[in-house]
Amino acid sequence: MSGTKATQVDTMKRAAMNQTAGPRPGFRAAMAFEFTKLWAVRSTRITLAVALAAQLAMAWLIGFSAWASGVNGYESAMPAPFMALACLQLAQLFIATLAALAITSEYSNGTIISSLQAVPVRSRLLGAKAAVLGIVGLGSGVVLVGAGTLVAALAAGTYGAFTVSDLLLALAGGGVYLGMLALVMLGIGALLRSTAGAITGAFVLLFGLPQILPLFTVDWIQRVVVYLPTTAGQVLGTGAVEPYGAATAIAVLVAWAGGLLVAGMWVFTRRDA
Amino acid sequence: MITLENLGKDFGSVRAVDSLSVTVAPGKVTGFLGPNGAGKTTTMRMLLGLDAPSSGRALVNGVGYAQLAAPLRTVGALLEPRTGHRGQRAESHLRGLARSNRIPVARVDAVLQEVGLGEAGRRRIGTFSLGMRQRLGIAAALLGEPEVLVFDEPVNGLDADGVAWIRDLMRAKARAGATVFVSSHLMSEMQSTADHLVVIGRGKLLADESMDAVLAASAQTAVVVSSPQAGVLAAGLERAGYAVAVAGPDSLRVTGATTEEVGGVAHSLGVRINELGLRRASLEQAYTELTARSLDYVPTRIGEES
Repeated sequence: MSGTKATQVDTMKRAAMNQTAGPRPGFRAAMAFEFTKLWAVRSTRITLAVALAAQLAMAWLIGFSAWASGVNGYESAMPAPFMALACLQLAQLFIATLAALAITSEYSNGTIISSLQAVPVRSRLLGAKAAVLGIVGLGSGVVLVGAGTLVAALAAGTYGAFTVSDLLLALAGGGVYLGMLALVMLGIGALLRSTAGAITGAFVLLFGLPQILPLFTVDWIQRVVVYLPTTAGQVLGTGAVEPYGAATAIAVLVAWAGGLLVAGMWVFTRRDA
Repeated sequence: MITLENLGKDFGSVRAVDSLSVTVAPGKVTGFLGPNGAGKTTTMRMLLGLDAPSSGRALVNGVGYAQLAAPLRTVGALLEPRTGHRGQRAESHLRGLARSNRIPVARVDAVLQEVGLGEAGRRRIGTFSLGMRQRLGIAAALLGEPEVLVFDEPVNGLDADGVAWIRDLMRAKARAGATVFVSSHLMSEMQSTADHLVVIGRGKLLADESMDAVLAASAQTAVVVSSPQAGVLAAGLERAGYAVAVAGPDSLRVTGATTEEVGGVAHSLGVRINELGLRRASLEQAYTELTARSLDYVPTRIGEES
């Protein structure tokens, strides 16, 4: 190659990479893109609305049953925020579905093609999804626990009495739990690429394993079962000290989210779209 | 400018794209031809960084697609008509793309108008016809005012008006200096659109030539001349080294010659001429010869590949 030609190619390369005309898009632009896609689809807003409705209905049921049991002399009092936290058992499914769909629907709709054209650096695309879903999960957790607390407290009356620190603990626990759950589901979705597969995975992880594993009386299974994300979520929101404390609970959730997200990222950056 | 350097892609034991080296220059429309399954879409997917090449490189302006600072402002591509989430409104789909590359959001309305979807912008993509989705895909490609356009089968699903519209669009963009790389299996459409052709078969390069060169090389391109003294003229033309065939009672088909050369021979012989003209091969004919000429190319039987 002659010297002049090399210089020409060099200049062109620099021009292509620098793109002096106009601002350079980075991670925040990719996040804006992901947020626009997530919020613009009607099913996102419906899913969030249904999650809230399910949470309020559950909170009222638990609160009312606590009150009914209490007036009949049973020991049923529980701080209302912890009731709301227990209700996430149901509402978490909607958030999990939403998070999985953020990647699997891109494959079923074929939009992954245009998304990767817009943000070809794959770690940036998946990272932006993780950031947006983490925020949405965290926000959902706070809103769902907050609204659930209100309803449960109204239904339970004196049997749902709670302190401010109970409330703050449950809000933080619910937020961190759903935020991490969203990342777990994004990781599973990136690994499997199929909506049905990811939702099956969520059921196994959130309901199947916590139900089935305790049936085995094998020692090591009993020790492992408490490290499932659902147990960690409960610990985090209720301030429990058994089987472990809040710090361990956060570590458990971060390990699940981080592990699955890293696995999903590893596959996503290497596989053909 | 697009540069493919020894680009190859294997799917298991199948060599879908085999050492393609091609430069697609700005300022003209380059047609990318080949039968279904020849590797056109795979080549374009590698160019856009969707599939990783097994060997070689595909570059835009000298860099890989993923290294472009703002890819949508450099390359506009239409790969398949399934663009955007079915439940998303067209304008919101475009707004998301604009934000991803920090393109002014005002461009969204501009491109919707440009592709004739001004009214339909508020509708959900799921309600669109195939033709409308194709137009939306083109709107997305034009959003960042890119200097390189990559279209895979853009006329799919478009009606006659749409076909003419996209032809005019590609011609206009090329005239304005853009690099336009467009694949098609519709030869008649390509003949009226492309300036340059890249032809592949079974993943291998068969031709990388100007449209004029491809058509001139066809055996179907010939000078037709008619004369009351056709016999005398035929003898003279053969002496001059041209291949002559009888086309009618008074007319001859001369291959390998220009009209000027045939006229010159007739003039030197003092032969009267009633008609002299060039019959150009259609791209369809030239393409068929081209693919048949390639030794290792075996035409695909209908139904064998999708």
